[in-house]
Amino acid sequence: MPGTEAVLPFHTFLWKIASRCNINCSYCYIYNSQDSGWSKQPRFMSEQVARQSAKRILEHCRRHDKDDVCITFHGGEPLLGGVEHLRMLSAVVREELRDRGIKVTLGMQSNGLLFTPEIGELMLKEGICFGISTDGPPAVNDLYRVDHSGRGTGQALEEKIKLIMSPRYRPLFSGFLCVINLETDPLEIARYLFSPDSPIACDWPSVDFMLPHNNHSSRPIGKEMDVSIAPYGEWLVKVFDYWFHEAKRGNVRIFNSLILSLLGAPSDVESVGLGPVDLIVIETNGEIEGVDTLKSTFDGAPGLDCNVFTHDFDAVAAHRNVKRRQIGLGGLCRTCRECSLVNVCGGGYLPHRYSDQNGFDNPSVYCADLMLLINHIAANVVDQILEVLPTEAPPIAVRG
Amino acid sequence: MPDKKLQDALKQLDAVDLAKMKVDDLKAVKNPVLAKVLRDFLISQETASHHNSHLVHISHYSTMVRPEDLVIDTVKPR
Repeated sequence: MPGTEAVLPFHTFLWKIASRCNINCSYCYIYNSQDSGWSKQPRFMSEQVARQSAKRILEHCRRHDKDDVCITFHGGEPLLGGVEHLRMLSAVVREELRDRGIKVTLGMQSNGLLFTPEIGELMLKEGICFGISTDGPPAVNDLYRVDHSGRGTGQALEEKIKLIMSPRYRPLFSGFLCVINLETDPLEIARYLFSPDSPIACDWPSVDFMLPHNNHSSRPIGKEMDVSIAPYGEWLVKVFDYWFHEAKRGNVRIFNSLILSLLGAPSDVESVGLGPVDLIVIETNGEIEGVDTLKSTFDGAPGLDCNVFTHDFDAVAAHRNVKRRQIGLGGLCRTCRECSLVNVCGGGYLPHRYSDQNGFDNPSVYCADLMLLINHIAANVVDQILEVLPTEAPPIAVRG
Repeated sequence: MPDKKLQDALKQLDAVDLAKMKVDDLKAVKNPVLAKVLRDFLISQETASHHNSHLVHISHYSTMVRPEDLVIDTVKPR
């Protein structure tokens, strides 16, 4: 693998600290999709793997004159190992990185069900924030987010969220991650997440909506027969209108990113925009993978044949499958390259472009949905923005 | 391909010069969530320039990282 070639350093390191989960969401891209790699992984990341990962990150930072990184604890369910596992990992991050001058933003994505005050105290001490996965009110959440016996987890989760929203633990909370489900009423979901009257209300909610990880060979629900229709776009438009015109509170990452991309700014999420991806995944055994959501495409898709014990991150960054995600327009299919929206959507999220026939050389299976949503957002923000922000040229009178 | 109306809107938005945007400009943005989006961007750009790095990239997984961690100042919640 080339070592002299210029590489874009990684910024976000996703540590799979547990390879199993306490629940069994039916749509899960790890356990109920195409890839079975999780079953060969150790259940938890060991101290040896964590320490070697941290040493590699330090080496990467020194080589690229970087003094800040983001480490995200992920799974499976990252809280499955309990408070002592989390304590060990936090200590490794502190000893190997923070104490050596690297600013580490430490995050975690969890289903929240195993959160306890003891874990909360540790997170406060170590500066770990976390996002919570929820699809909406308990009855909605229970459609897919069930335990291993098929029982819903929504009510238990709501109680945990109330605990997390208490003044003591509110500083830990960074946002909700919500998978779009066409069977649900988007307004019901939006009110649950944004309304100050919601049982899980907080001062300034932060939310992201995730399109289900489907593709052209495993089509999304509602688009099985025709990918040119836009039911997910219509769902998101209803949420946008509630957020933008009624609730007028909170951050919604996909909307924020599309607004900024419309203005020519780089997107801050990898699922839209043409910016290079600087995220890398470390499995519980130390294997390094491109992005774990590729598990939704075909068995072994995320694999790079690299490991923290045998490869440094520069070697990983030079891997063709990593580079492919950093070349912007050049990594997209012809249809996308010729589309005037490409700077905004960036061709959509890589796993959503896949087909058995063409690999990743397709527009996103959600192309029509993204176009509808972008069209709607542009129409809603253009006047307000042009009214107040400096332009390079006088506005052209085109809106009717 | 996007429709004509969207293409026109894109052209107008493309003409906005974000480099010249100032926090004071945002006082005139009537919608509070739009103002917050723009203000967070402005501040994160400032942070990025302090760090001599590209815009802080928070990736697909960034609901796990609070926006407050990515900026040097934030708009207080209403």
